[in-house]
Amino acid sequence: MINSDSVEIGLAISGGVDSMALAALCSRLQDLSHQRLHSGTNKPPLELSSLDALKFRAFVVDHGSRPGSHLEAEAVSKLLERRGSYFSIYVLAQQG
Amino acid sequence: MLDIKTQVLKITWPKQEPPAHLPNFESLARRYRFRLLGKACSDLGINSLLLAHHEDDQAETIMMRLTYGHGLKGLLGIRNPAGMPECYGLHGVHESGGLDSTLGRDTDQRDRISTSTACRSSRSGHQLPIETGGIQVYRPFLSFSKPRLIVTCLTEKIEWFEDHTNKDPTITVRNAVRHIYNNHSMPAALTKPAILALSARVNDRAAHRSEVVKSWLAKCKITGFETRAGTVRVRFADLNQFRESEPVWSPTDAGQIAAELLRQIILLVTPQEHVDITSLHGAVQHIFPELCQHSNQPLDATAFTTSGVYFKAIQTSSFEIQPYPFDNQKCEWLISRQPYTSGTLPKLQLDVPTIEDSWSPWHLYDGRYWIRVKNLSTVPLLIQPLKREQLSEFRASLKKVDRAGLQQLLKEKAPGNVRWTLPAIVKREEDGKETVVALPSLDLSVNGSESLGRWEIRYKKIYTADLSLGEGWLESLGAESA
Repeated sequence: MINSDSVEIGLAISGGVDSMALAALCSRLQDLSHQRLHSGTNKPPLELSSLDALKFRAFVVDHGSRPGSHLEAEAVSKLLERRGSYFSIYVLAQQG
Repeated sequence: MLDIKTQVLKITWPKQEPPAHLPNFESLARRYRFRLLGKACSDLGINSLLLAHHEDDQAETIMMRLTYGHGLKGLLGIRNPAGMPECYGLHGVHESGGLDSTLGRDTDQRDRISTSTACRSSRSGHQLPIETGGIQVYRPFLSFSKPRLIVTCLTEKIEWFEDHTNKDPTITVRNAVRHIYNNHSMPAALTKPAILALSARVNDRAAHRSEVVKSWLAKCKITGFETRAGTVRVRFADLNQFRESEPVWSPTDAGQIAAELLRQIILLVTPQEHVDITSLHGAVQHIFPELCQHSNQPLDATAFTTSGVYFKAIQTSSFEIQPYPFDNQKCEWLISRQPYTSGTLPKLQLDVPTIEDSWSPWHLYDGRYWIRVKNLSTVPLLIQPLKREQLSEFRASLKKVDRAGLQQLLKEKAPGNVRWTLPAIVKREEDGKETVVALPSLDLSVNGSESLGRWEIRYKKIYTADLSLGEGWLESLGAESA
């Protein structure tokens, strides 16, 4: 709704093998949808026709459970993002 | 590299306590994790979140629920898709927020609309806005095993991290279950394939039942629904009409289907987050005595409470309510929020905001209404049920034209004791005296309330696709969307 020409889908990524497989496959989907947009071919395979500007956004949770937990979260995010520069931290309201 | 935009969300824990030492650390971490994820999605306008749970997680979950004795419902396994877990009452995440994304974020404009005189003049015919939206989680790997996902990562040349806390069987029940599967051979009936097959069968049966519930529900007629008071009027179907149809249901099965049917109706007005059908056996006997073979003597109670709601039989015509059956004509029931007992009154306190002239967040009040307040006064504003001793003073504080309106609205929308479940905005003076300044769901405020604050109210999200809605309902919804 915020950006009408693209759909953004969230990914919850812990860095474990299951979530990294999810990130890997979604990364492929994202590439496919963008390749199609940039190659200008009008005949995408049928199953890709709904992939207009598909975008994924990964969330890595730093549980803050022990000193250095942020290093683990940063290591995971470096696997996900090429430049690794986009980085922000939310603070939790205490009442949850 | 994967080229996926990434955000790190950090949980900050109360106090300086080392959280891993808390006895309930795992469940707290889960709750905070999901609420943080939900908030982040909501802030970015993301409606869907993918989780990487896989088939082994599914089998472990079902095994855990078996050990807890959760029964059939537990065997259904992890729901997919599902609402965002752990986010009950979080606006924009839990079954809400859809109105804001379609109306746009220009709140000033919406304020003008909601307080315009055109809207007020026709208030009696209108429903409140009904919330929509919410964030859904999807688990695309639920039928893929962990070994397959390992091969996916190897093929794609993706690194991953091993979380060693997942390996300690003494930390969580899930770890213990995983440890048993990894290190012991299980009885055939408890192996992962057997558990998953059992779950698949239970799901098939549930899907079939839900089709039956739909067809039975279609024969129940909703004759009235009032978002302003949170009530619904229903004429339930005579279930004898399904007695001849195939398949023939055993009394137990029929009772379960009837309970599921009742659950869907109750969810329209209950303050509770969940309604468990195992708590509805008594209600089924009251509403569908035709299902009870043992007692030829029908229950003659014309009112009862269950699952947070109050059922009251309505005398619709000049004759008295007759014990069932009556030419397949069952009586109509009015279902409203269960009367409060002292000590369980919901209460929200909205302090004077630190930023002047700003709206509070949306709060889910009493599990039924989303309310937000702009407190312009110098004292806290409370949201709590209207109390008996407050009504006459409130009436006296209204403009003259509104006094007649109040009487009319109470009579039509909140008859009898239903009015004591209406949400009221209350001003608490420094000496502790509490004065009702508005009944927001009836759109009535005391003379001069503009200087105290503003409020906006919406009804909770409801599921109506399978309900047989009368014309009154359609009209009111039409009026709302127009």
